[in-house]
Parts: sequence; C-alpha cells; structure tokens
Amino acid sequence: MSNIHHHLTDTTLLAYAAGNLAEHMSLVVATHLAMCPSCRNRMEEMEALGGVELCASETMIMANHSKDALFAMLDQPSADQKPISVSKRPTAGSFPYPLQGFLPENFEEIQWRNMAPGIKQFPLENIQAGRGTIRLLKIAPGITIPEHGHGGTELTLILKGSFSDEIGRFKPGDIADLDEDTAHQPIADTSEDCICLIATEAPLKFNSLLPKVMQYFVGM
Amino acid sequence: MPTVTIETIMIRKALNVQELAISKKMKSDANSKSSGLESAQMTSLLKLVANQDKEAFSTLFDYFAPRVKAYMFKLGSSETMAEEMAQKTMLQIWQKANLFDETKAAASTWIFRIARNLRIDELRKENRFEYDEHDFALTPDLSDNAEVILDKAQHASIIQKALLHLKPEQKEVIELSFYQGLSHSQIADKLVLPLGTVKSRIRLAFSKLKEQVEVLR
Repeated sequence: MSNIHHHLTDTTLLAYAAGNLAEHMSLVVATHLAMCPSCRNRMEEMEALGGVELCASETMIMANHSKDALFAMLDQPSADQKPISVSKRPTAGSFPYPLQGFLPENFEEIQWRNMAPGIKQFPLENIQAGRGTIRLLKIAPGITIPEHGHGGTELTLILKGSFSDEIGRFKPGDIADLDEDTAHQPIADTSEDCICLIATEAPLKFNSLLPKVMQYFVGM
Repeated sequence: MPTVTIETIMIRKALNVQELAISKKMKSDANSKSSGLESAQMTSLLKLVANQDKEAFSTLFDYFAPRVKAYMFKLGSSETMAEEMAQKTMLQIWQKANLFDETKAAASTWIFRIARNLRIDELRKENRFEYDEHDFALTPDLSDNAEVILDKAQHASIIQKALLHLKPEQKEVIELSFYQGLSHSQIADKLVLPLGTVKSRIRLAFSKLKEQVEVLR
C-alpha cells in the first residue's frame, strides 16, 4: 500500500518522458519517482510509447558513407563504458538519488537562510533553472506561504512533515503539481517543520504587497 | 571477445531468413510505416549485438538510424547535426547493448531512451535527472497487484495496436510532445487552444491507451 496520495499529472510525466522538461523541474520529478512506484510505472508506459512512436516515425535517409564510418569505429574501445552492474549505494542520509547530489547527508546539516517569518530557504546550486527557481523550503508549524501565482508549472515535493492547501493534505513523497492558473496557500499543519522541494518554471508572483517587498529583498 | 553460442547460431539462422524478407520489403515500400521489424525481432537483434554481432547491428542501423535522424531533425537540429546524433545513438547502442535487459524494457523503449538522453545532453546541454533503481533510498513497488509484465517486447506491440484507438486530436498531442518537443503550453499556442483543453486531451489519451492496453492483453 503506497502512502502517496498526490501524484504527478499526465502532462508533467509526458513532458519528462519525452525529454521536454527543464533541468531543475526534472530533478524534482526524478526525486518523486524514486519515492513513488505508481508514477514510475506510468512513466515507463510513456517511455514505451516513446519507443513505439520512434518506430512509427518517418525516416530520413542517412548519408552514403555513414554506415561504413560508424562500422570503422565499432572496434575502438569506448572511453566511458558504464559498469555492467551498478553497485548499490551505501545507505545515505535522508534523500533519494538524484536529490542526494545537491544536499548534505541529512536535514540537520542544511544551511538554511531566512526568507520570511517562519520560512527558511535553501536554494539549490549547480543546477540550471532558466527563469525559474528551485529551492528547499522549511515552513514552521502553522505558517502559510503567502498566496502566489506562478507562470508555468510549479512542483512541490514534500520531504518532511506535511502541509495542507486548497487541494488537500500533503505528506512526505506527495507532490503538488500545479499549473500557472492555480493560486494556492499551503500551510504547515502539524507540530513539526514542513520541508519541501519547490521548483517553478517562472518567478513566483506574490499577490499582496508585503510579500512583494520581501520578494525583492530575499531574491525570490 | 564475441561468443558464438548455439543460441546465437539459431537466432541468426532464423533472422537471416527474416532479414532477407525484411530488406526486400523495405525497398519496395520504403514509405510504409508498417513495414520493418517486429518488437520481438528487435529484442533478438539487440541481444545479438550484445555479443558483438555486426550483421545484427547492421539490421538495427538500417531500421533505427533513419528514424532517429528524423526524430532529431524534427526536434530542431540541422540535418548535419541530426545525422551526427543518429550516429552517436547507434554507437551507444553498440557500446551498451550488454546492459539491455529484455525484462525491463522493449528494445524500442531502450533505444528511444538513448536518443532522448543524447538530445538533452548534446542539443540542450542539460542534465537529465533520473532515479537510480539500485538506490537504497528508492521506495520499492510492494503493491499486491503489481503485475510484472515480463514480455516487454509484446507489451510494446500491444501499445502500438492500442494507439490505433486514439482519436486524432489525442494522437496529435502525443506526437507533438515526443516529436516536436513541445510542452503543453507550446502545444496550446501551436494549435490555438486553451491550455486546459490540451491538458485534458493528454489525460484522455492516456486513459484511453490504458483502457485499450487492458483489452488487448
């Protein structure tokens, strides 16, 4: 029985399977997939569809000597041959791969920065986000993220604790996959901090003045 | 070191006969999308390639290189670049065929992934993040009704048949996603449709596909 009740939409999964998602968005998707077998299964179906579509594709003739040129290369050893068996990673801290590569071993070691009363952030580094954003947020109990819209898709993956919003209750592994039209106000609803990974395709748009001022100062 | 087992010889014998038939067919109906390799044949060929069988690789090249080239071209590269990407895809197939696991994916799925990942890496210069199935922190699939589909090759054939049951507008959004690399908002712009319509077409397409796959299994 899976504990996950909030999943990726078909639209986002399709974009991921087709290779159309921006890098920072694909990090959040891949991390959720590590936590959600049913989304993994759906994603694999979509990749199988990609393969079928490839076979059904039109063809574009290869240049005359391309096959010979390729065959001449076949006997050369490949520089970066992956090992046949991937050894299991040692039990790491709290995060699945690939998120693991961007964070310290566990939650306690994260160097949080203040963002607003009750809200701390940890922007991820060494990742391309275009005009969008990707960060961890730590929300204290009872605190709400101010109402905001967002151009494009916003993905919020719960890592610890929980929050509630207009859609429902989100716990670790759950993902809120929202499009640009949905304004929402998540509130951390238990006595522990809620830690989540949030990626947006575009900058966040806060709907009232005070958060807009904060936005300027904290560089959201 | 290539190993020629009895299995290899038998597969090759069966495929030689097929290969002749296939190559004749491809010459005569070069534009027909339905001619060419069956899913199970692709799996057999890929397994031979894992044993460094160049004849098998040649057959796969003839089938997939022109398709991968068209894929790369439709996604926006120049013809020269598309040609190069198709070569790189085929080279990776040769180098990684020993990693292909037929219980995990159909050959076409596996090859699609290589082409897609090359596109992201080389054309977009971005990382593609993926979960690691060997990660200790991966949540395993423990559901009681996890039907393990072992014959992935057959499953791909079923998906191919199920696709025929989609409405044209549903097929269209899928093709635009895979073959023009359009996000749903780009599809909305291109087709001059509300975003919500595109999203529901995507949802309906997958729900219809799932329904048909169940029927055909």
